[in-house]
Parts: sequence; C-alpha cells; structure tokens
Amino acid sequence: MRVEGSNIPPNDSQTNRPFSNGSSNGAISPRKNGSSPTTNGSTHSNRHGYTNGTREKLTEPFFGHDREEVTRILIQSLTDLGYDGAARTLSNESGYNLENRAVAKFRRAVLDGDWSEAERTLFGDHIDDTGGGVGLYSNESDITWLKSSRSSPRNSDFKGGLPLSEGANTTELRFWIRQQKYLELLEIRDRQRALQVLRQELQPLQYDETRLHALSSLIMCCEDPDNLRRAAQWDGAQGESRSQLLSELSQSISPSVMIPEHRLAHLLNQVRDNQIANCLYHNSTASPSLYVNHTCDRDDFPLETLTELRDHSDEVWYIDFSPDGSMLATACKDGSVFIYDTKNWSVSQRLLEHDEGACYVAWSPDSQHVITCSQGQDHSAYVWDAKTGHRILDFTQYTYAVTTAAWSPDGTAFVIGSQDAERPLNLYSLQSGQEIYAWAETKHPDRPNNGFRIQDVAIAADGSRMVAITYDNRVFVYDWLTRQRISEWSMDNTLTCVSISSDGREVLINMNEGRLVLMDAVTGEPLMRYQGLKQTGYVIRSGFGGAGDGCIVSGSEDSHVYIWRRQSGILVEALEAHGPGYVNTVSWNRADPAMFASAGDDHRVRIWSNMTNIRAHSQQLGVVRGMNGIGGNTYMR
Amino acid sequence: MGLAYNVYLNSKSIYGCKTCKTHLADHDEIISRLRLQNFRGQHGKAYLFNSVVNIQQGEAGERNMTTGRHVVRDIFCRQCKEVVGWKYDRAYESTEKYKEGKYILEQELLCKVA
Repeated sequence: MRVEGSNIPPNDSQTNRPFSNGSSNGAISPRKNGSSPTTNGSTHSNRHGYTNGTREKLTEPFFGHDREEVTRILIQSLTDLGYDGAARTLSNESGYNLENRAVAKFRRAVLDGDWSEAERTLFGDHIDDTGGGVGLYSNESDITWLKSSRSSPRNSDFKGGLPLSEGANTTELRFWIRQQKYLELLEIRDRQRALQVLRQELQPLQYDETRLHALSSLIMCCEDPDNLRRAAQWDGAQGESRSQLLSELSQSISPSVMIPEHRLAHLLNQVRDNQIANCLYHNSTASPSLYVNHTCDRDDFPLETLTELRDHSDEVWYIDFSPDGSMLATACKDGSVFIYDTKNWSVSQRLLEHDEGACYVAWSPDSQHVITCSQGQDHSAYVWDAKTGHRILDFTQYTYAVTTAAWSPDGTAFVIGSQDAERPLNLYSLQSGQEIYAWAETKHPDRPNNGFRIQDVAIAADGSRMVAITYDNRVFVYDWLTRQRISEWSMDNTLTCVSISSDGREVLINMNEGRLVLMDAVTGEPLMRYQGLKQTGYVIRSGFGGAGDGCIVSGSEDSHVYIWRRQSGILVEALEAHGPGYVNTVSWNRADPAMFASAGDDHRVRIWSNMTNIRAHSQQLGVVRGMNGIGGNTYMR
Repeated sequence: MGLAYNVYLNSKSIYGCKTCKTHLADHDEIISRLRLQNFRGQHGKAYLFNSVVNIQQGEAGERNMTTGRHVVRDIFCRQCKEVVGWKYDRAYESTEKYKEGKYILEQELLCKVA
C-alpha cells in the first residue's frame, strides 16, 4: 500500500512560502499558456513570482464540482500513481495543497514514531486530560469541545489539534497511538518504559479492558521480538504497522483536512459498481473500461435453448455441472443417473444402481467423483468414479430418504444428509468410506424423536462454513473447521433447497410458498428477496449463477426458469421451459458463464446458451435451429 | 409431478408402514377405545385414526361390515403402494356416523417407528 506521506508532500516545509499554509489567496506562479504540465522536479523552489494580484486565479467550479476538492484529489491521485513531480507542479500551479502544515506534521510524527508530537498535533496543545487518573471529560464532551474550538479546517494550526470527523472517539485514537508506542518499546526490549506506558498512559484511558489485558500479557514476550510480533499479530516498527496506524487514525480526521486515502480510486469504484449494478445482462468479472458507460448486450447472456437432452424416461429431479464444466450429471425419478459429456452432449456414463428416486448428485471439487442419492424405496447413496462409471462406495444403511451430499473443499471427505433421524448428517472419508463425524442434536422436549432430518446441505467453497436445512424448518450454520453450530434459526414454512456463497457469508434458501431469500449466514438477516417463482409443496431448487455469482437462478412450479440479478433482486428474465410440468432444478456451468442447464417433469434436460454462441453454432452446423432444438438434438448425437 | 418427500410425524409414538417404515399415523390420533369396541380388519386388530399421512386412496365402494353398510375406500402406503387399511367415506347407520372421514389402519400391516 502506498502511503501519501512516504513521499515528500507537495507543500514540504522547505519551500515555506506564505501560501503553503493552505490559503490560496493570490499566490499562484505565473502560468505559461500551453506549457506542458509535466515540469518535473523544477517546481520546488523556483516559483518566486508571487505578487498578490499578478494574475487571475482560476476559481470557476469544475463542471459543477468544487475546484479545490477536485484539484486536491488530483494531487493525491498523482502521488498515488507515482507522479510526484506532476503532483508538486499541480500543487504549485493551482495554489492548493494536499495537506496543510499541521497534517503534514502529524503524518511525519506518526511515521517517525514521535508519539508525543503525534498526540499533540492530533489533539492539540492541551493538558493531557487522561494522564494520571480520572479523566475530566467524557468522550462525548471531548469531541464537542474540540469541535467548538475548531476554526475552519483550512486555517487550523496545531494549537487546537486537527479537526476530527463525526463520531471520532478520541479515547480510542489515543489508545491506538499509545498501543503502538508500547509495542515498539517492547520490541526494543525496553521493558521498564513499556510498563510505564502501560500503567500511566494506556490503563487510565479505561478503554477496551480485554485488549489491555492481552497487551499486558505480552510483557512476557519481551525477550524475543519475533515472538512478540507473532503473539501480537503486529509486524513491528520497521514494518507496515506505523503506516497502518496512520491509515486508521486518518479515518477519524475530518476528510476535508486529510483526504481519505485513494479517494479518486474509491470514487471510480463507486461509479464502476453503480454501472455494473444497473447492467441487467452483466455476466463478466472483468472490470469495464472507464472510457464508455458500461452496458452488456442481451445477446451475450444465456437466454436461448442450445439443445435438449431426452435420454431419461421419467421426471428429471436434479442436475449439476462438474466444477470443471466438462460433464453434466442428471438424476431421474426412475433411479437412473446419467453423466453427459458437455462437448457433444452424449451420455458418457449410465449409473444404474438406484432402483428409484435419484434425487441428488454431488461432484467432488476435482470433478473426479460423484455422489448419487435416492429417496423413496431406495434411500441410499453411492460414490462413483465419474470417468469410468465404477461404484466406489456404498451407503445403504439409511432407513429414510437420502436427500443431499456435499464435498469438503479439499476433496478428501464428504457429507451425506438424510431424513433418517438416526443418521441425519454424517461426514465420511473418501479413501476409507468410514464415518469421520456425525452431527447430532441434544434432547429437547419439542423433539421427542431426538433428532433432525436434513433436506439439503451446502459447504462454502472457501471451506469456512456449512449450512444445512431441516425437515422442521430450521437452518443450521456450522463452522466447517471446528464443526460447531454457530447459528440456528427457525423459519415459518417448508424449506426445500439451500446454497451458500463461495465465501460462506450468504445463504440462499427456497421455501414455501414461492419465496426465495438470500440471508446473512451468521445473523439470518434477509438481504434480498427474489420474487416471481411458484412453489407450494414440491422440491424446487435454486442456486448462484453467472460470472462471479452475480445472478440467482431457480426452477419453479409454473414451468419457467427464473433468473435475477443477485445484488438488486431485479428479474432478468423468466424463461418458459419444461411445460406443463415443473422446472425442478437449474444448474449453472461454473466453468462457462454463458451456459446453464434446467431439468423438468417433462423428462428433459435443457441446455441454455447465449444468442452469440447459438448463431456461431448454427453457422458451423449449417442447420437452422428452432427454439425447441428438435433438429439440433438429433444432429448432435 | 415433481419431487415431494414423505411427511414425517413428530411424536413419541409413531406407526409406520410395515414394509417400508414410511410414517403413517401418530398414536395420539387414535380415537379413544374406551367407548368403542375394538375394530377388526382382514388381518385382525385394527385402530381408528383421526388423521393419517403418506397414504393414497383407492376407489370408493360399498361394503357390508359387522356394524352395517358403509362406503369405504382402501388406503395404500404412498411409497410402497401396499394396502394399510381403509377410510370410511360414509356410514348408513346413525350410530356409526362418527367414523365418517376417519381412517382404519390394520395392526398387522403396521410397525412402530419411534
């Protein structure tokens, strides 16, 4: 991270011209018309020609924006980009300074480790009201007092301290500065002075007792700086810690005095995010160009049928693409599971062990193995080698429906979920097939059967969390590493499907009637609702889709595939499919954002792609493709 | 029409289909036997239930039973399709009216699930 202060700021005290206090009255160097703006390096002390009123100072706003703000942000950005000379030139030419003297002093003080100077410049030349015992002011009055004594940001000098932003907590700021002082003293093994800081400067602040105790225990690490740094999770006086401290402190300083870091980048990010949020067909993770206002073309979004797979003889209940996108597994009501090659859509494997009711498939992260689950009379699970079609492991001990499975992100183990209250959620080893762990529940009067039944389970790709939904409408969130349940909440209707974002922070749940909700994984707070789908009593599934998981897709009981934008909840499109029966499930190809598949009661699996691909495809085959892909399908085989 | 799981009951005492253990009825739903004589089905002892789950109903038909003429229909386990009892649609005798809309499950065809 590049800190502004690590370069000589444009108003370095060496120039020390009257203008450098930040006031910009008539102190501009003569501007040569048409001169190149990049007069590097020579700007420093050569501009003597400051006579008040020599020339007009440019004061008009910049297209409606305050000139001073724009210029100072540009100065900051030039420095961020590494063009220090240009930054200085701009500062001199415009007469604006990025930082006034007080701020510069403060920055220097923190980076040099001059802590008393840092506190002085930050809070002002006053009695340190927290030294030696009872504070005279509460936190609040600290702030109001400072505010009232503050003159306009431009003219403040450090006598009154720097103007702080709303809600700045001076005690907290002092604590951080003194904490750094303490840690640095420990690092150089000056235990005595460190203790002094602890007792006389940190402790009287009465801020964050827990942290204080943690800090005092670090005295023990005094002998070994490496140990100290590790224990405190702190990288030392020579590392980034001072810059980081400066960064944190600066967030509490009035933004007009000390412009928040990388302000221009922040503003550009906002613009970019806003444009993306308004782009209905956005399906890419690349950052759009700043040259043009961004919109994606509808033709690039998958909304057209590429082909239909008609190999199953009964309702298709579940499908899923392999993580590498090379295969698609499909599970059918009659118990059969097919694996398709996604290049030519031929069936590469037929997995025919389940007698009926294949209701789930789960691909291992390396796309080598697949787990199939069944309900109804069959209620079992099998693990298969996806390439050869060989069955590797059998799980037939279940008495009731096996509803779901999920792999651990390292691919060595997997979870099987079922409606069998004796073994609802178990972790098994891939290598041995042995049970590693069984999640259970303690006795509860509401649950005389002393168990829960699992409807669906999902594990976050980053290995942070696992989420499971139960037959009795509860959602469980587990920490994956510790296997502990960290959240639980009860919903008011049947839950049929759960997915979890790759960072484990958000969960997506389908529930009756026709509700699809994105929730915070820890608090359960609903973040977004996706409207339109129909769901009254059957298992309808949804999931994340699109580049960067920017979309939400779902099946529905009204023969439509629904696609929404994840952030805004806006419906992208509702696609007619698999009528008159239900669209049971939709799966997006994680390796190809322009492809997803849907499965329905019409015994068919439909592959969707975008207009661009389909046109290219048709040209290749020389076949005119109809919307229902009849001609195409026979051709493909 | 789509995937729908079986219903699961939540009670200390549940009767399930003997063949496949699918939950069928809660013991608490048995209509009190204090004032009624025991029911007998084709396979022996049977119970009258207020409500049952996971069953499919057959065609209605008239039957002469020890207690008189009734309109009944057979009921089957939804999962394995085996007969588990019958449902009373209508009773001609006024003293038998209490059975209307209720279900008989035959003990022989049941198992205890919890």
